[in-house]
Amino acid sequence: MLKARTLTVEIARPPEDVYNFLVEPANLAHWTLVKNGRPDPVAGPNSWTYDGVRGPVTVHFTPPNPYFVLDYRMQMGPQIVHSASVRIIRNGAGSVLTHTSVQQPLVSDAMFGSEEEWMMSDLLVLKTLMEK
Amino acid sequence: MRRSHTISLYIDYPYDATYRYLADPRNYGEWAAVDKASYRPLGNGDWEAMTNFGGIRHFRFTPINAFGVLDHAVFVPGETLLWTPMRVTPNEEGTELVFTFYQRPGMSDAEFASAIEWVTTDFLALKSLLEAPRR
Repeated sequence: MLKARTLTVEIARPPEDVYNFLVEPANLAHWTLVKNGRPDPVAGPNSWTYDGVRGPVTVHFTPPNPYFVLDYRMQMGPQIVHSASVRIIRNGAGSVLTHTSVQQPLVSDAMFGSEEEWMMSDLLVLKTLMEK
Repeated sequence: MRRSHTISLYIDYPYDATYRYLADPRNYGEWAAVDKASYRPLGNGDWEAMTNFGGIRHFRFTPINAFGVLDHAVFVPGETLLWTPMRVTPNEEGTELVFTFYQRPGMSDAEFASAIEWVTTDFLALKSLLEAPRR
């Protein structure tokens, strides 16, 4: 069993809007620190590589689906550094984003805690962007 | 937008088996807050039961899917469906379950807090049921 943590963010936009924004890999650069996204078919059918703060990072996305599931895995070199199940759910005219991270092997408790804080601040940037 | 509360819990039971169990509507009466004896299928694919929180309700479940999505609607026949989001995902040899509960119209904050406690109890019952050694 790996440690898991769930973050939730309420977003005052319909779930279709939030999902349609997030399902497009190019949009990741609009609310996180990665830049210059490009498809990386060698890494996988739904994988993109970006320029990250600490070098190239590959993100393996979930194919488009009617459940608004946006699970992803982040890879640096050969190692999966972050893995999360994400979903957009309906809340009246708005949405709730649930983000469950699983602490990867070799990631320390301190590093996992810090990653989750960064993740929450990214998610709040996303919220602000979507609610603009 | 309603207030929402998300519960997540780890179940020490393999993901495939957990999903298969929860995706089968026949098993819902085993762990949810319904009177098991009254729980029965209806002709249209929905289910019906007397609930522990009062009154007959109908239940509608999400078809089998590859994402572990287990949303279900609990509703008074003829009224609007309020879907309850629920999902399971793998965590090594076990399973993570995520469930979101909404404050319903007319529900006070105290009632909402109490409902969250009841729902949490349901999930702890489910966890015990799945983690108990199989005979």
